[in-house]
Amino acid sequence: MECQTCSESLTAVMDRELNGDQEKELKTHLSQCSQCDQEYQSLLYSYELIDRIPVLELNPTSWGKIRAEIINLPTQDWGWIFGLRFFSPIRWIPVTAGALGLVFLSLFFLNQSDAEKERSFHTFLQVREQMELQHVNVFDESWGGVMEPLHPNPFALHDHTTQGNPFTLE
Amino acid sequence: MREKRINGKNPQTFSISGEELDDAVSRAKKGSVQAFQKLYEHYGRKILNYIYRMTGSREEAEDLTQDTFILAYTNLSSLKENIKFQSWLFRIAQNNVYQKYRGKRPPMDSIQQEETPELSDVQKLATPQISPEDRVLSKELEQVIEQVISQLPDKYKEVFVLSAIHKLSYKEISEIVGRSLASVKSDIHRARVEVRDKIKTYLGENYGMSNLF
Repeated sequence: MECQTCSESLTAVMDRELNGDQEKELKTHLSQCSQCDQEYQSLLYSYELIDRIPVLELNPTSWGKIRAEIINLPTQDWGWIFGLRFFSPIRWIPVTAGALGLVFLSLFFLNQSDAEKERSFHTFLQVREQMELQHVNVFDESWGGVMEPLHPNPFALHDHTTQGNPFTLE
Repeated sequence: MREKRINGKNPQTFSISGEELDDAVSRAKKGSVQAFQKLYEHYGRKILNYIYRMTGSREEAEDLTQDTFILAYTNLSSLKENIKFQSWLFRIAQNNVYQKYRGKRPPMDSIQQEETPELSDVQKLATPQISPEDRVLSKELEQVIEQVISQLPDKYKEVFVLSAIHKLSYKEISEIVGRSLASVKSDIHRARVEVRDKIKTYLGENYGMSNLF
């Protein structure tokens, strides 16, 4: 192992990030190279100093504040419904409102009484009859009259016969 | 070879087994506040100290720690692997810190307000008055080390704190900071050397003396 490689691996070996073989190779090099061993001891000393710096302790009131926040969340303790909480975001509000609107409209029409339905049906029949009468032209007084089609041919003659082909030579 | 965990002062001392963690996270996902409290008791101190090292303000660290845990609780369902709760939590804490300062360097108030001792004061620490049995750093030396850490560039500081203070593996750190394993390894090495060099400059000939702690 070269000194450069050894030097770059010193922190890794102290952090236990080398595998067995790599560690063994590095140890062998350290035992043979006083310069690398000196560097290793120097870094080791800084590790020991840093390991002794104090740490902050948690404020005893912190958990109370966190608890107060999380128990007020709408999805708290809902059991199996907890998994459906993605429905709660505000983006679902318009979709929910639309769906509810459709349900209400359906209920309104389905809940009509029979009398109302019958009245609506009669009104529909009357309107349709009037519309049909407007398009019927009876030539004979007898029942076998000719019904004018709803969309008459605009190129037809008055006696309802079709014109000859206008593009043929006489 | 040296034991990585030298003493019980660092915040990694509260450990939790894989099974306990999986169970607690599963129950917390179903809405158990009690299970989440267990997670807070195990990881709260780590997160508090991580944010403190990144911001330098105790008050800020406490507020951001609370925000981190509230955010973690509300987004727990997005955590796919329960066993990765710690990395996931640190990532939330890291995002909280960066969102708070939006790329600006956090003001290192409390750490920098402490007066840095003169070299001569530090040298006094090496006097025989400090008992070798007293394995606690002097206040002055603590301040020097705190300041050296706080002055590291952000890129080095975050990986250094996660590795040196919280004893996270390089793989976990790589997941938290979103950089490659090789990059993390290299940055930790550079940060370690830089911290060592600065402490060595402060301590001078006393560097390496066992009676400093």
